[in-house]
Amino acid sequence: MSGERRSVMRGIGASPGIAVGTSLVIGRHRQPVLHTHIEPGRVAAEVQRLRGAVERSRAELASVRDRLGADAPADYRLILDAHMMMSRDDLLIDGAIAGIQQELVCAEWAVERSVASIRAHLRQAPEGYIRERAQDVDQVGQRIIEQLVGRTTTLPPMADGDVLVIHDLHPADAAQLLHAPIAALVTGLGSATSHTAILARTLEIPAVVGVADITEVVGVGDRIIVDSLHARVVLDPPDAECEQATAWANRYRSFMRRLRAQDELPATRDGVDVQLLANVDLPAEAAMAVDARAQGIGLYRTEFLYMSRAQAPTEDEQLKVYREMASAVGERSVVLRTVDMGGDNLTIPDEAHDVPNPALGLRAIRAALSQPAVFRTQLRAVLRAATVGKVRVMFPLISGVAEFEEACACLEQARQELVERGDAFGQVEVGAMIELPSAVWMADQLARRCDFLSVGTNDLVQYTLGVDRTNPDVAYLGDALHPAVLRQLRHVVQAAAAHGRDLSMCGDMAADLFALPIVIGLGFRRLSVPVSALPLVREVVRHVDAAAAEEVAGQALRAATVGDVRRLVSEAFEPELGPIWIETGVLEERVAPRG
Amino acid sequence: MSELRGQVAILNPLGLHARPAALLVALAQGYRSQIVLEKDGQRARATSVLELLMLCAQQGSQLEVCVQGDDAAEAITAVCALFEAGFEEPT
Repeated sequence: MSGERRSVMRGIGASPGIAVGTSLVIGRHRQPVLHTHIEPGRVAAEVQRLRGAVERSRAELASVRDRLGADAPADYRLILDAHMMMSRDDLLIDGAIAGIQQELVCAEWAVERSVASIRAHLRQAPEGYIRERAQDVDQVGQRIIEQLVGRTTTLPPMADGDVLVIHDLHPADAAQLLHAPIAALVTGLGSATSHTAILARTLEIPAVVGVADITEVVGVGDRIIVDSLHARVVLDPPDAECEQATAWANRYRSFMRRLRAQDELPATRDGVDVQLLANVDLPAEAAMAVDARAQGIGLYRTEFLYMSRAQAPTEDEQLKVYREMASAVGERSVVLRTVDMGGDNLTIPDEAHDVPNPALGLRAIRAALSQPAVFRTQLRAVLRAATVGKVRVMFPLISGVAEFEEACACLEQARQELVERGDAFGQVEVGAMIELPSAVWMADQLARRCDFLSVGTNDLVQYTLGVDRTNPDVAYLGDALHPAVLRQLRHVVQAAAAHGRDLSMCGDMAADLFALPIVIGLGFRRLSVPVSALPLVREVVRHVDAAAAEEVAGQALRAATVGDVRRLVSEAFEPELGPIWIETGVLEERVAPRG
Repeated sequence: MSELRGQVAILNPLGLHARPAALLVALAQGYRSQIVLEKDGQRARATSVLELLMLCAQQGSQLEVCVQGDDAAEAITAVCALFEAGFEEPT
């Protein structure tokens, strides 16, 4: 492992930090193998069982191959053919049968041992392409074992220094990982808002998700660097790089420990208070937010309740979760965002359309208003949850006043329904999310009608610049520091102030350590960020002089390009914030601002 | 039942890697005879991709083919032809 085959794979940083460890891989066909012995009388039956599994896995491969379209890469077809041959290869099968007959081991274990023996031989070959076939044998063996074992939800035992590499993370896995000693987590699936990323965040270890096909590529027991700050993993890194990464990991950990220990309420260097709240998806994160001294929950995304379910959750199911959330934060308030699905989140359970522009389609508040019964169910649960804590509700993707009023009418109707049923409910403040340019320009009218406003910068940037943030070819264009975005933000700040309304920012920009001085300079005094970002945001806030930030923001509003804005921020704030930026991997990427 | 032997050489640049091995296995499955290849004392059944790979036979290697069965003549001819064609890979 000298780094000859070093490669870098990119993903999405779900939970911050860096770690160096040894990979423990759970493939798509996960199957921790129980090592058991069998009675001599069972040998024939066990061999039969093995043959059945071999045949089924071959059939599975055949059907995958048959489903391949004409445009599938030719070598994929060849690999499948090779796998099909290997899956009934005499050496592999005879070896397994011998194990069953002579050592009285169960079929799964026999396959595992046969595979291991073949792998060992192949790995000794001088030719690289033959050594690589070891991976094919491994996968073929796993497929047979999966047929023997059936799907399972248990993870194998994990050790200190293990980096768990897994295709997808399920709630059952996350629960098991909560107390596991692993160093880091890497998953194949996962976008920034998927349940995989959400679950990874609750684990508080460095995690990179959405590294496509990682479980097919990385070998078991390989050295791997998980760098969530740069959203990437490094496979087979050379020794020098590992040492560097380990040093950085240690520095980062003590840096974060120091920050977490800091007690004071967040305020700028010149004493301006900035409220810091947390963005959460799960009740588990609410407790973490309180620990991290969040002053409230600025955004509770309710989608997780609807994800990967066949039907929308019932009123009582929702009520239970919302109450848990509200109780977890005690005195502080929780802002519940009503269901925001469609776009790059999953579709609402009923929807199955294949639309060309899902982000511009039936999603968020539009989808909710198109299914009023489902919407009112959520609203009733929200109202009832308000009896145990301070609950505020917020409607996503508001495009204008009429839509906002329609949503408010639904809330009123929900309230009426509860009155008729005789159920207790509480007072709930109502807010609008500003995520569309149309809402920006109607901010004054919206401010008059709502109790608070919150800017969702992710979508605002996307819609302002016309960039699909999930499209890797153009995602780089979606820069929140674009002057067009900044001007809109300034407009919203002014509108909220003119009408005396609470305003917060809850998108990624609020936790963007480089953009923060501008965010403060524009006038935002309430930020809602991921729990793991709280200590860092607090630290940056402490180092920013609000008056100076206001000055720089003013210049940024007059700037022509993103590049100009980034240069302004660099020049003005690098002296104070440079060290933090370097420590958290921000600065490296910002060295060459894109115009 | 006859047993026939012959010599083959590996002509293609990548040697007996996964693709040629797969071709050889496919070929061998069409005959009733048992086909075995031998290199430096190591034996590999032509019905096992893995055993063939483990021969690590590179370009230029000389292998012995041993065929046993009632269609041995046809089988050995076909096997030799496949090797002579360099497994239809560009050289």
